[in-house]
Amino acid sequence: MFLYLIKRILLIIPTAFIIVVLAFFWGELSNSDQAMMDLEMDENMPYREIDPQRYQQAYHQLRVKYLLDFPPFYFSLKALSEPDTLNRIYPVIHRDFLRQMALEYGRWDNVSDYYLALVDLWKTTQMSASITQVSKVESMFQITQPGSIEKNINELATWQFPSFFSDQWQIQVTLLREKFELLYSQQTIWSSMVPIVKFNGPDNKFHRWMIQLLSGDLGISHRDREPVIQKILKALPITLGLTFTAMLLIFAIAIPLGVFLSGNSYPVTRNTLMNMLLGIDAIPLFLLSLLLIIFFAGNDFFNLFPAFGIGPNISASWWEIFSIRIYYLFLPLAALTLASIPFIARQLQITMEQVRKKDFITTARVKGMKERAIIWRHGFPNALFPMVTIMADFLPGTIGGVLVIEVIFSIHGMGKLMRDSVLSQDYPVILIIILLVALVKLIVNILADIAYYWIDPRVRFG
Amino acid sequence: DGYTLAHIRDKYEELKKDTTIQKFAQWVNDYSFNQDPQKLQGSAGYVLDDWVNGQYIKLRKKQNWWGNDIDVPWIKAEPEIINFQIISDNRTALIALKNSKIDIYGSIPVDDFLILMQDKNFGYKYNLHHVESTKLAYLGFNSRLPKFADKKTRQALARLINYKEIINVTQAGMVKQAVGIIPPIHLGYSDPNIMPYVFDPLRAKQLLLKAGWEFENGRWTKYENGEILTLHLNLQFTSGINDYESIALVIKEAFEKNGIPVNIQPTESRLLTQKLKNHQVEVFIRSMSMTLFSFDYRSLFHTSAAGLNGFNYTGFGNGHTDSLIIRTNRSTDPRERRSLIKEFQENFHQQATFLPLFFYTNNLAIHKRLSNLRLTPLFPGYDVTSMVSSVQ
Repeated sequence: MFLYLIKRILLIIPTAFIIVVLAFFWGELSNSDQAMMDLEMDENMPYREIDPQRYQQAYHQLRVKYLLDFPPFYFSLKALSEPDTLNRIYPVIHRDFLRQMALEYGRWDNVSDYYLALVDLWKTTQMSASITQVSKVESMFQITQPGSIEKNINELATWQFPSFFSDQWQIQVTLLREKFELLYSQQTIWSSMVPIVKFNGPDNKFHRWMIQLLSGDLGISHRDREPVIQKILKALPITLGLTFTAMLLIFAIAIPLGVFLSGNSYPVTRNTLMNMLLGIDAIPLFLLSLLLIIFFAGNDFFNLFPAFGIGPNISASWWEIFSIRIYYLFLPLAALTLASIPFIARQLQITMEQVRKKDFITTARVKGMKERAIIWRHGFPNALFPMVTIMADFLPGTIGGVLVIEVIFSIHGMGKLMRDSVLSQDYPVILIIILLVALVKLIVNILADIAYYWIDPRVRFG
Repeated sequence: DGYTLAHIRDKYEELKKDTTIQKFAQWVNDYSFNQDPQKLQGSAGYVLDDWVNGQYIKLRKKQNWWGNDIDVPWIKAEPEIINFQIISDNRTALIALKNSKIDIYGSIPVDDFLILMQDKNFGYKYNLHHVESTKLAYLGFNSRLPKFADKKTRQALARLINYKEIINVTQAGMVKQAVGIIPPIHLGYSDPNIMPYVFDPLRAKQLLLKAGWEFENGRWTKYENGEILTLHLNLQFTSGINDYESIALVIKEAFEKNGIPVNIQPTESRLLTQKLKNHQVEVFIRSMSMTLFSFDYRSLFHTSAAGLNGFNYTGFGNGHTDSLIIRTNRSTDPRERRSLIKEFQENFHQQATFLPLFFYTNNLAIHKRLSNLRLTPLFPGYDVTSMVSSVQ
């Protein structure tokens, strides 16, 4: 058992690493430009117009800060025709355009020349053309098909401008056409089908992020620049308190209830309870929460408990603080508990019904043991296996938080933090919560294995 | 000490490397400026007393505040404590309101507001107020697209929108149709002479025909620059906002009855913003809070803002409207400004790239023990600092 545990603990490391990599790449796939989002959050629009050059500089500084100019991983898989430095192109739409062009036509030098000629034309258009004409040229940064490019260039060549501008325009359109014709005639499509693997070394985003993570720096929230660790340390105790208390209540009620329902005595009571449990199980959690608020926090019925929050922050004894918290969290606890009891009681009932039919139970009865002792001392431990599995699934949820409860009752726990982070695309926070839940799941599985062994020493692990 | 704004302006590159400046920048950019009560100090009448993330923010009145000796209505600090409770679920907030756990609730959804108006018990304790706000719901056309490039087409489409139905469905008929971007409460600047577009399918058809569209086989088509254009709409809006969805459905119904297919695409908020900036959206529903204190529309409606990443999503504007915007900003004569703003509004209305639908209202419930109310069109619709409680 000990060796098995050591092996399982050591296996956490590669498993956690794989989860970290997957979570990191999930964040990368979002393709959000955090540097741009930061600048817009700071309402730098007038700044952008007054001094576009400095705005660009600020943008590039933020890109360095968020490691956006680094390749994502230790190695990159790309087509032969794709250049290394695409991630430095701004705006993002030009970057995507260049990638498509490189894949379409193959030769990066020709693609680059065409792109630069188009950018020059775009800048010229912004000085003297109408919005529709500027938009037309801008739209060419999304067109890669040769037929469409040629058609657009032909159209550009027909535009009339005042004489002082017309010559420059025609020269630039002619240059653009030449660059395109060269691009088209020398295209090497095969190069976009040749994959190459480039080793980036430690100079990549993932490596830097891992170093930060391992040194305890969980990053900074993009939403309000608060360190992620502080955000989590504020939300986690609330969620842990809520869900651990709920878990204790659930098992304290569901276990005796499940055992009682598996018996033969008091059939009327058992049937009534069964139907009540089925009824409660049918109610979705959010509806249950709202019903509790209406009945126990509203003026229309029993106005007994608060409808939201966890109570004020006051300096008092731990007992007073505990009392305040329990008072405010009574309804959320009730909702969580009521929503989970039917399932767990029913699972235990089914398992206990099977256990009651076993031979060793009959033997215990024949030996003259009291029924109560038979059930709790001999029957119940054999029904614990599924309970351990259920608990092992339940605990990681304590870290993710119970989103519905936290939103309805305005409790700022991990669930609400996750929801707010997802809505605001606050990836540093989302990543850490994912990692936390995954880590807890891994540890809980090991604890479940220990629990299995403790319940039934016959269990052997390979 | 020793650094001035002129230094930063003229010697920016040099100062960027200065370690003192760097440390100062890091200090200013630190998140504690968002959170630490010692650093969050302003010149108004309150200080941050206590707060819990996601729960509440409590402000305490300053004792020796300079505004205490000034008798100006908007420079007040009457309540000793102001406690902003954060309640994320609307149902929960309404129950808290009915339980008298909160004194003021703004932004009550229209349907709930109507129910509260009928509730006599509630009426004994609270006053209900319905204040016009500066938040404008609008429909935008990407006028860069060939099918929407012609003004007559856009004016025709503007006449296929059932504005009354939209207001009835989303605002229970409690607001008026907006005719411009300036809130009507801004007296003297919003133009009462502009006739709003009304739902007129017949006139819409005439305009489409004038714009060169032909109605054949149940759809509108137009031949332009060697291409056949088909008149159909991809209508996008931020997902999760019920009002926008309702507006989209009303538009879809009316347009499709008149031969214009509409494809509704609810889109995640940031993705929609990104697409708008990249000019990848055809028609969209959005809202915007208009300011009462400035008529500087450069970043919204000037043609310089119509490029990639600019905020002029519809591509509105031409040389004349640009000139009106610039002259309005530069003018110091109130009469001249009013005249320029009115001319701008007329042009704006004619272009029909940006169709105002209605201004939202702030639906408020305020406890009767609070007096000296100052209701305002600015969010959240009330000035809590001026309110006096009859119960101390």
